[in-house]
Amino acid sequence: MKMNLRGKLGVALATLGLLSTFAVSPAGASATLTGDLTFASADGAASLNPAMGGSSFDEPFFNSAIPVFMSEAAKVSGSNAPSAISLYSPTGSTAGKKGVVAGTYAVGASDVPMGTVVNGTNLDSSILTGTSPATTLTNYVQVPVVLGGVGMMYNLPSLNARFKKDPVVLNSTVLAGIYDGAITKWNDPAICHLNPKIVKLTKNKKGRIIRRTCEMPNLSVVPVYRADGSGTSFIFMNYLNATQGANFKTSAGAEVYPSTTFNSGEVPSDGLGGQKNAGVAADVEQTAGAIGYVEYSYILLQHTLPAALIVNAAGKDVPVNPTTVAADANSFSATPPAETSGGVVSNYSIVNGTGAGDYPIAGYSWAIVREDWNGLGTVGGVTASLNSEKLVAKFLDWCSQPGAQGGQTVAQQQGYVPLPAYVSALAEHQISLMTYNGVSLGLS
Amino acid sequence: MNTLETEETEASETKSEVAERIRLSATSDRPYRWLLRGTALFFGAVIVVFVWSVLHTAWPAIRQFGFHLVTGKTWVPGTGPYGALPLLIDTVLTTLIALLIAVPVGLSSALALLYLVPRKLRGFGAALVELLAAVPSVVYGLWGIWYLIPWMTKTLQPFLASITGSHWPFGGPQEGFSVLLAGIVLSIMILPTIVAISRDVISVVPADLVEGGLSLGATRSQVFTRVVLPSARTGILGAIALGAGRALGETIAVAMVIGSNAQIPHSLFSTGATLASTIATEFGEATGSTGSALAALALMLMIITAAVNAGARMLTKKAKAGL
Repeated sequence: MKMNLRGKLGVALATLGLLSTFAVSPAGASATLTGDLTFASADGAASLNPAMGGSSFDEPFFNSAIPVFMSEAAKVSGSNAPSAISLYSPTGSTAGKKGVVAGTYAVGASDVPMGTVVNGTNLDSSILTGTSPATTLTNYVQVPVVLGGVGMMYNLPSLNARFKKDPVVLNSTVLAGIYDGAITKWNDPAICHLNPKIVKLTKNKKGRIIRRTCEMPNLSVVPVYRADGSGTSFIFMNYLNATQGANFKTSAGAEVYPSTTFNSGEVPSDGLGGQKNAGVAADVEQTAGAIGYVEYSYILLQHTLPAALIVNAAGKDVPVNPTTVAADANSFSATPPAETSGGVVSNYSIVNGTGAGDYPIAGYSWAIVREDWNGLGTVGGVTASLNSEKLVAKFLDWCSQPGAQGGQTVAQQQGYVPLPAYVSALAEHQISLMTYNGVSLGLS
Repeated sequence: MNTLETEETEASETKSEVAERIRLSATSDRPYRWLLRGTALFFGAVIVVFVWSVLHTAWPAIRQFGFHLVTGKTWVPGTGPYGALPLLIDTVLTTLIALLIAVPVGLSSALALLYLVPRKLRGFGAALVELLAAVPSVVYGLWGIWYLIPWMTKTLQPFLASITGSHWPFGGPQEGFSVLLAGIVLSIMILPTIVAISRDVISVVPADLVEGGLSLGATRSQVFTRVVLPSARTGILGAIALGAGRALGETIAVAMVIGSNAQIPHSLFSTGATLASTIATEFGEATGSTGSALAALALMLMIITAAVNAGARMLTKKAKAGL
């Protein structure tokens, strides 16, 4: 993957940040897994193909990680290594949760942890209805797999060249205004106020500046949002909720379908809905005056358009990149995701970190797996045996590992930010909770 | 015209007589008869089960929201309210735009392919049109995004807006993604259906009629509009109905270019969402009431397409009777 110097620096800094927080680990994290890739012939992993699917935010990660996992395992275990795992299906976060509950996915991925409660309502109440083991939240483990930032990509053709140097600065009030229909022009006073650099200077004969006029174009703002239910929307709405409070109080489900929240339930009439991250990026590219929220790797991919700087909680204008997203994640290292007695992680948000270098719109994505596979019959198309559960646990463990052969290196290559050490530790602890018929899997 | 009438009545009488004879005569191969009846019954059963299952999924939403599902003006996935009026309007509007473009163009192409294009090029022209039918709809969607949107925003929309100003039907933001664009893309998608079928029905218009018209001194356009098209109108209505059916139900291409914004259009430049595009867009993440409301949309779509088909059948019958 091509990466500019700033990107490389960012990654180096992110790694430094990662090392510095290594000491912090969540309470109760006992096991230290190492991304063990040894498979014995008795493990029967070579022919197993557990199905995985869910969040489209995770697609670039899983679809690179699965082949690398198999080839790395083959280096260690030869023909005993897993070699038949299919690629990941990017069916959407809710579909990932539904799939793992129904047993059609062995691993369901979601940008919103299962069981998250917003304003007193459980977002998954319709999935987790009933008392069967499959609909009981404590029977799952949730493993953070990737960390990503959400960028505000925009298209202002008349000034694009200039914005490469001086990107537009926006804050949460303006973003809320844009998506609410309150701000309809790019030269709105609120936007001009945030962008003192984008001005035309009128000078008198002596060369002294007599007037500064806002040079933001007189162009309609076209807010682009995700028309399909989406975890990327969840992260964006989570940010607006955290910063705009009363203006963006949302009901259950509204995070995933943000159009419910805009303009009290109606999208501004010039709003555009796109399908998946790629659809939003395409809509922004094709529409002058458009702004849309997309996962950071899509801004890297479609580097023709800039992403706005966002004013963070500390009042600094911050671009979206691996460094600033890692900084934001690390701002929360003092308050790691709380695990309840059943090992449940939910309601974990890392938007709007307070550090000076924090990019405020970021979130984790999670892999959701049944905690004990005994008696499940079939899971994701494979027999729910100790061997197949072990394979999935080893895969997720490898995914959470940093270092030359770990899954987080793959994540980094795909434009995600490596998990901070305290979150890797959380991932390992979650995996260590997995049992078969009540007995620990005994991974090393 | 009188001779034609008697000929056709005689022909249809013979046909039904033959059918009756087959029904009565085949005493010897009973198993074969049961096989045929079985397959016919099987497909009937599939349709019944299909409708029942859609109705079953939609039932909670229908019971909870009732007629509001059809008349409500706001469609909010995830939480409700689920009012499909904007979706219904956009579905009908995009189909009307598509027909408005595709019917005249399609009929003219069919006439041209039969009567005007040099004989050597006819096969080639027909093959080109049929090729259009084989292009997957997602390709039309991509083409719409990449090529039609820049053309819309730079050329077509400013031109149309300069005619009407800010008044209906052209006004408001010129984003490219719009009900109008969805209609244009649909018109290209249904064109091959209309051309292929109307060409087939026009080609069986008796040469005597055309020659008769010409010998009476009619011009080419008079022959086309007063002789050829009226005598083929039954088939042409069928072609239009098939095209309308495809336009009503088209999903991916529409979802890609319409802007996925469920609102009652304030102009043809407005973004929108159709029944089919909404089902496709929102189904993946649908839980609880949203899933049921989407099934209700599917039911509405089925009713509309069935109504279009029934309407076309009725018109066809009337047209036959009027001949």
